Amino acid sequence: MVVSVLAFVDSPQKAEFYEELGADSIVIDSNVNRHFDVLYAIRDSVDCELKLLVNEGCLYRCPFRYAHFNFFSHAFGPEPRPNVLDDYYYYKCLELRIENPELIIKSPWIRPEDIKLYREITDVYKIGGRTHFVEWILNCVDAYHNESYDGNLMDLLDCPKDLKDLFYISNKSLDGVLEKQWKNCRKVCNKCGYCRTLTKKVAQVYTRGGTELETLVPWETVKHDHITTFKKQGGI
Amino acid sequence: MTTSQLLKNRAEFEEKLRKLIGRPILLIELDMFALPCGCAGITANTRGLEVDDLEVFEPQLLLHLKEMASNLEVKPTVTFARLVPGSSIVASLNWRTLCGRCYPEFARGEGKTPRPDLYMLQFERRK
Repeated sequence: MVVSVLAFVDSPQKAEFYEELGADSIVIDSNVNRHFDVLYAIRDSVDCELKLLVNEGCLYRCPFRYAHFNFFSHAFGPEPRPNVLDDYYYYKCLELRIENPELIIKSPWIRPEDIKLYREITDVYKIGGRTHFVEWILNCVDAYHNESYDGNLMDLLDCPKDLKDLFYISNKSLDGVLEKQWKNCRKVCNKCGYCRTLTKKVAQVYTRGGTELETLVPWETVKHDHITTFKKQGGI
Repeated sequence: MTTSQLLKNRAEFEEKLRKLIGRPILLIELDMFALPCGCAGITANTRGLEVDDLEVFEPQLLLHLKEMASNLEVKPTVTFARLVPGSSIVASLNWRTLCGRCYPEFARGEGKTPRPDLYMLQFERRK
């Protein structure tokens, strides 16, 4: 019996509860993927197998998480299904990340290169994205098997394709960040600013996509161009 | 209209939106469509665009929208944004040449949001 990541096991107490119910395996809530104190505490509290979901692209401590997965269950579950026009959470989540790609950086994914730092917690990893094309899945499995990926981090994340078409974040540009910063991060973002600075350094945006002029520009450039355009128009 | 022209227009319009709004707005899909009722036009599916942006930049945006319609040889009767109802999210921008059946529906609507999922940018009333 496997306890789903959607049981939100983020503490030793919850893990113990499910183990007592008879769980053979628990997929730990990905929100604590970078909280090593919690991960160690869970490992020390139970004997069952632990799994880490490594490539979920969801927002860290997403405020929509419960409601969005509940929506999925109703929208794609058995009849009768609710008659809904749009998935608000999908759009809102995308919008938040387009406006502020720092949220992508803060998502609790684990890079293939960083798997080694989790060896004392577990050696069982779950790769999300079963609805993707087989080639995408194989690319992901290859990357995690080889513990290395030289390309766009967005290729590995299980998140809407829309974000992959927009952002390029070199996976290798994040070498050492988990060990140096996130492993001991206290998540007080407004006092820290590390991820903000890192995002400015590593996040690039595709422009003129789908044409021979397609190129990558730093994310910050888009804001700069906007200000320049407005100054030219006498807007500022 | 060739697919390469459509690709070029998608990229150019996306770039104009980004320069105008100051965020990397994504034009996730640009479609030309024809409906069984007789309506035809263009839909640009957007990600990262909000109602606030329309309100603030409407005059500038309309110029870009008109240019785009002209590039794709569409003479729209109505230009509107489709919203995710009850939210500030703009799901798409639409240029539509209305058929005789659909025209009265739009003509009877009032204000900027005649329906919870519509934000009107331009409507050409028949004389």
